[in-house]
Amino acid sequence: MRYCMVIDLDKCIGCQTCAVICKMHHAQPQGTWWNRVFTQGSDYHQSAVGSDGAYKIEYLPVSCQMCDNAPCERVCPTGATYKNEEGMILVDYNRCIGCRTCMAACPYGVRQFNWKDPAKEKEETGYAYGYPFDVKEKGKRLVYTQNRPAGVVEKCTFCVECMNEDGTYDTLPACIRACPGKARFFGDLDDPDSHVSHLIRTKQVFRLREDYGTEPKVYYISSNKSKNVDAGWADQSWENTTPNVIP
Amino acid sequence: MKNLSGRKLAALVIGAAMCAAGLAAWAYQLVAGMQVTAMRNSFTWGLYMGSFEFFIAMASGGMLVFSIAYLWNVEQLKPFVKIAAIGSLASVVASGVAIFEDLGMPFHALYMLLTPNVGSPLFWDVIILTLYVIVCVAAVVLSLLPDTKKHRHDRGYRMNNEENCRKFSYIALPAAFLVNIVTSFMFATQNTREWWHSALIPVNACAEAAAVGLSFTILLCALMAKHDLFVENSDGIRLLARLAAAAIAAYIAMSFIEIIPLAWSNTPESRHLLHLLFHTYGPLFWLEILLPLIAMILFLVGGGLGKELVAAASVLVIIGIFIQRMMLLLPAFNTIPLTLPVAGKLWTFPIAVGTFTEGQDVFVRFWNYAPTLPEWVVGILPPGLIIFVMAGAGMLFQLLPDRE
Repeated sequence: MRYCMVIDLDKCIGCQTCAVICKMHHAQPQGTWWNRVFTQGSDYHQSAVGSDGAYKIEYLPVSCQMCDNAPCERVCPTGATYKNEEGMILVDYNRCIGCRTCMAACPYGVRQFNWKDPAKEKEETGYAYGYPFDVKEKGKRLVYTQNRPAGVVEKCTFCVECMNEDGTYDTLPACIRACPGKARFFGDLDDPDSHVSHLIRTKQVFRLREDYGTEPKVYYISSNKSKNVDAGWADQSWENTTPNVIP
Repeated sequence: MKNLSGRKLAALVIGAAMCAAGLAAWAYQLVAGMQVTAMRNSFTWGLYMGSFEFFIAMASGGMLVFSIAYLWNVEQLKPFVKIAAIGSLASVVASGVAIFEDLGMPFHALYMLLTPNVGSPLFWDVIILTLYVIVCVAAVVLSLLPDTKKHRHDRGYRMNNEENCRKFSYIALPAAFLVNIVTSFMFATQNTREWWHSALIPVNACAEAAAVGLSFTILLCALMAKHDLFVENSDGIRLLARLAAAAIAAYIAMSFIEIIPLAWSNTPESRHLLHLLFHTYGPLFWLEILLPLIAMILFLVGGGLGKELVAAASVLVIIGIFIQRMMLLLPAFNTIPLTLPVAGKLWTFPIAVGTFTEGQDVFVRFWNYAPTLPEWVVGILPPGLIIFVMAGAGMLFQLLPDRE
């Protein structure tokens, strides 16, 4: 089983709800964002790009790409960053030494360092939020805790706290659930019958900076509909009514 | 002699003060978090990593001098072997301290041994650094043993020890280069950073290490040896100066060999990198080239170099290579790898800095890194340690021949 995410850029309205829900759900400290959404080509979000009357706005959400050939995992000296059986790249906060080599290696800028103690920061601001329980994968590796210690690296976990012990999800990752445009899809890349596999096969998809050889597991459906391999696919009623399901 | 002892005591006090200030600032950093530094998510390594790289390069010098003296039997270098070996040991320990300063969670460092990722270049760097410390300790012991009371007048032992030193040089010489090669792989293997991803980086690291390492040893000799001993063994110093000059020439050549193909490719990425190199960080780039270049000329044409001149040239190399080590980081981190072609232009995806300061952007494409005051104070711990160790060793042991 390898979980992956598909993001339909035609449906993304750049509202940044996914980024905000992720920040709240995972108790991210100030200035830390596991998920970012920006307007492609523009210095300012929601401002059009182009010239001579040919303007357009396209958004690009970027979080951890859960690479199959993850440079962050390869450079981590302690094995704190690792790939689990479901193909997710996770960080064991008890092992991370805060060397930040993974941040230098990651081409997507998604890894975030705790420059100060998040717990103290929340005390100062009086603002408490986030999923409250610790998650230890296989009962050993601390892959989620509400207040990560200062001096460790954190990032998107595909909401590992929502994953059952057998690797299935009853509740989808927060960004998927919160997306008002239903632009995000989540499922098993290894299952040819999964919704995500179907999307990847039939849509014009791309991955970010594949030239780095990272083999990301976040796929983007191109925002240019005319390029769709199967133009009729988007009109199928089930896709528009019951998206995001894991078969 | 009294004057020299006074200088050693002053150096010991200065070194101890630097260590104390550095340790206090480090404790402050551990309590307050690394927010006290100028590093942020888009610029993850700064002064500490630059220092780590720099002191590793500097640590090569002593082992090179040790090896040259015994493998090629250069008698006029042998009086300086003890200083060289202790200089190497102090530098490699300083580099270890510098990398620990850079860790966000140094208390987890034991996991490097408990659950190592053997594919990580950083893991191998720790291994080679540890081995290099052992090599340096062995060199120090070998060079000091003949001076012990037991062996001081034992001619047979001294000859046997010299042979042991010669054999040991077969380990020390490759170790001096290997420690720099392995360390440089931390950068050279990262294919997402164009500034680092080059097979030339490990080769250039060797040239830089020879240049700064030999210069550091020359400087130590100039500072610690009396004038007559320095003049008496000027042929040995001149040999080191010429070797350092050759290493500087190789370093400068390789610096431009890296840049020419970059300019030739003329891609948006390479143009951005060259803009950073020649405009944003232009003064630093030219300093890292010109300072060693001036030193190279002094080393080569100096002929009977005076003690002061050779020391000044060595200082120029040390400053130049330190800047070079920082320049390994500055353009690299300000070339964000997630760039995409949008409407015929290269568009960079911003990175969240990781802290919030009112009035400052949270998402950035460029980070104007300049070490903060606490960072500078933490950063003086490694050089303070070197000064302290050298002065302390100078007071504890007889580092130079008897007539001193």
